[in-house]
Amino acid sequence: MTDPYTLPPEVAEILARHADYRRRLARLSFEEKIAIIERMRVLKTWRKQSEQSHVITPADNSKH
Amino acid sequence: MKETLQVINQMVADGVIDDYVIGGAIAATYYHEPINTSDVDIFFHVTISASGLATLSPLYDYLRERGYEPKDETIEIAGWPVQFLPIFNPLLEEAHRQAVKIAFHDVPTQIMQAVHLMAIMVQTGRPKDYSRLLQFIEADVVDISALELVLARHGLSEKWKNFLRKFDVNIKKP
Repeated sequence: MTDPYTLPPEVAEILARHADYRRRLARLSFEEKIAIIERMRVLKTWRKQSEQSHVITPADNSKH
Repeated sequence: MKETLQVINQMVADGVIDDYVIGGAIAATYYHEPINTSDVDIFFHVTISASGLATLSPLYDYLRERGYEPKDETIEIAGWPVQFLPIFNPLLEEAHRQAVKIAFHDVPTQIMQAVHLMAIMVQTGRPKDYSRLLQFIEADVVDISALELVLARHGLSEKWKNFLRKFDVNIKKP
């Protein structure tokens, strides 16, 4: 049986920080959490609208 | 959201619906990190018409009269799409009966208990339900023994075991 894969320390640190960030979010008040969801919804609507209005040009392709 | 809940509470006061409980992602957000969701799930008892048919017409008529228009399967109330869902099985009945009374910016409302939200996810069994179940387990906010009692009461123990097997979940019990 092979050893389990060990994450590089920098990746493990990012994951640990992300888990801590999620725990902190979970401890917010319900009102604060709903305010975050409301902001997510605004961003989602904005993204959808900007996708619809954006025409891909050769200049976009040259960025990649 | 505050105004949305005020409108729904007024629906109860005006007798359009007898009572309600918030479920879905908004209720889940009460217990763990916020979930990116687009609507509010409101569970309620549907009015039965004289002919014996369940009907949502009184609810839609009431809201339309106040300027709230249906949009797809929801009705937009004060900026939030609200989905009115019937309480149609014993698990939802129990989730409604044992709801937790809370206040949102001083507006009284009630949400499902975490054990009921999880049991409904097990029952519904869509990929997003499994993803949310994993979120609940990771957040460690539920008494798993209490959840298992609810699951057993509603014949969901086998589905729960299958979920744990499928996602290789080991539950820590005290």
